[in-house]
Amino acid sequence: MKNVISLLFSVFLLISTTQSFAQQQELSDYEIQKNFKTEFAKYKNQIDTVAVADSAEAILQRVQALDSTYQDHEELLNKSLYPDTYEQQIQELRQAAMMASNRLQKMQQQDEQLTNLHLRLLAYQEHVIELTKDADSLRLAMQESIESEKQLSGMVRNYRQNLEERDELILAFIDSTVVAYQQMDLEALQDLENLDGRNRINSDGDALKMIQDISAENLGILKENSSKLRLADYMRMHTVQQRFEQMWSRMGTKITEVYGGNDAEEIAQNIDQNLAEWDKLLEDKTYTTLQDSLQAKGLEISSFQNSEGFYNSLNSYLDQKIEKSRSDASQADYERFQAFQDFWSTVERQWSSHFQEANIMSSPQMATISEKTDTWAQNAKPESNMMLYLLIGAVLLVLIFGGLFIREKQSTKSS
Amino acid sequence: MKYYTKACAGILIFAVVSVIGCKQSMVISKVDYSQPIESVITPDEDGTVEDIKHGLKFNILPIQYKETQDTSSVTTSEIRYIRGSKGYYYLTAPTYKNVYMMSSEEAELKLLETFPIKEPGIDKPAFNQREGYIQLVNRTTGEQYRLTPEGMVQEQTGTEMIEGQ
Repeated sequence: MKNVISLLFSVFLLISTTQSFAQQQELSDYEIQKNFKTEFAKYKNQIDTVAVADSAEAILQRVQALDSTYQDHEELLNKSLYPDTYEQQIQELRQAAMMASNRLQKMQQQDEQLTNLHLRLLAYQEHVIELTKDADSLRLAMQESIESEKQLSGMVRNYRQNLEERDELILAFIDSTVVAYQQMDLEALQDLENLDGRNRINSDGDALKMIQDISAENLGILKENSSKLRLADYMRMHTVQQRFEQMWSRMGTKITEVYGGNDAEEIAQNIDQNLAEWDKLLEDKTYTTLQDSLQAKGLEISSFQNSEGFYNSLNSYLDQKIEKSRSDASQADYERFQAFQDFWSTVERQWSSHFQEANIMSSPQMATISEKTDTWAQNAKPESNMMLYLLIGAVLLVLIFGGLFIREKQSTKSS
Repeated sequence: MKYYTKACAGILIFAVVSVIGCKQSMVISKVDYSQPIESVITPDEDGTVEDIKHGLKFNILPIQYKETQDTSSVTTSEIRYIRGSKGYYYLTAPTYKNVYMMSSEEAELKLLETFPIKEPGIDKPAFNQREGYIQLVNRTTGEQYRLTPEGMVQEQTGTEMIEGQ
């Protein structure tokens, strides 16, 4: 009861004080303009320092209320605010409040986006770490099981599948990172940082660190496990490398700027180095594996180290084989043709985009090789000797039957 | 001698006409000196008030002396004044018992009228510029007075006329 009375008294006091104050304000022009200037400065300051979008909205509403309070004194205030006008000042407050509200909304969106990105990165990171661990344990197991060929081949298959899965995850990470960072407004992010004084990104889930880790791990995989990888693996890795490099060249600066740590530049340089090394190593390994797989098929293609060399080698090999098959098509050449056709149809079916994306061969170059393969196909099959064999058979039959007939005749004469 | 006298008279007449002609000054009428919002200024320790916005600087001690017969120190925290349409300044301060109407002269403000305020003076006075007059307001009680060079009238009743002294 005592509390209720106290509350009612406070309300009464507040109302009477407010009314009296309002009455005083209305009585003096000086107080009216002074109060308006004070209120204006107060709201201006609130707008400048507002930190939450909802508060900016509330200020906007209070500015509307301020306008309704002082609208009747517009003429007086115009004189007091000269050379500004009352309308200008109210408009200025409204615009500033609206801009602050929009800015804060955008900042909050960025904050949410960043939090989502952070969580997504953490999920990717966990998954990549898991896959890398699996790959490492598979690699160790492979080293220990060299004696059992069957077991080893199963493990190599698992290892390659694991790497494939990891590459898919990296591609998803790249897509996700590109989209997230494209939408990111660095200015709004900076405002946000200035506002609450905390680092936006924890380095545990930071994209920059993760890119550094992925580039280093990929380099490690290439360096240490080349014997277990096939051409198909390198083709897939080329796609990952290309996409990774594109993502880094497009978003690298932004990702580096967003990174919270002090070693951003150092990490960025390390990523550049890793990517350059990854690129070079992948190119070397790809051409070596290409050459090895062609040789394994019994195709004696002259050695090559780069895309130009590869194309020239294939081209001259095909020219040579076409010419030979035209003059003297042998069964051995036909088998070589079949081996080459098998290789080339795999390239066309599965790796044509990889070849082009990785600059291994351009589209016109691939068309030339396909055309020459078709030409070789027309002449590769050796000519059939069936007619000769039939003729020889027929002659032999004639001779046998002739011999028998003569023998029959002689025996008839003698008897 | 006669010619000499005539010549002197001619020169004298010319000089008088010239002087009279030069002394004629241009007059712009219907000037409105109205100050839209009163000035509220804190005097410094010497009693000097400076209104930078309106370009006016003066010392309030003569007015304070008239109010309190004391000029040993400045006794008021603020001085309030407003200029009416005819160019007269109306001046008072919290708890003062008069409103002083002064005209601006060459480097001086000259007291023209003193309008007494009811005892014990106004704690929170304020001047407002109104159409054709100056309004004196008691912000504590809400009482309003109409001030003109002719006198001060309480607005609510409209009957109480306070003649300038």
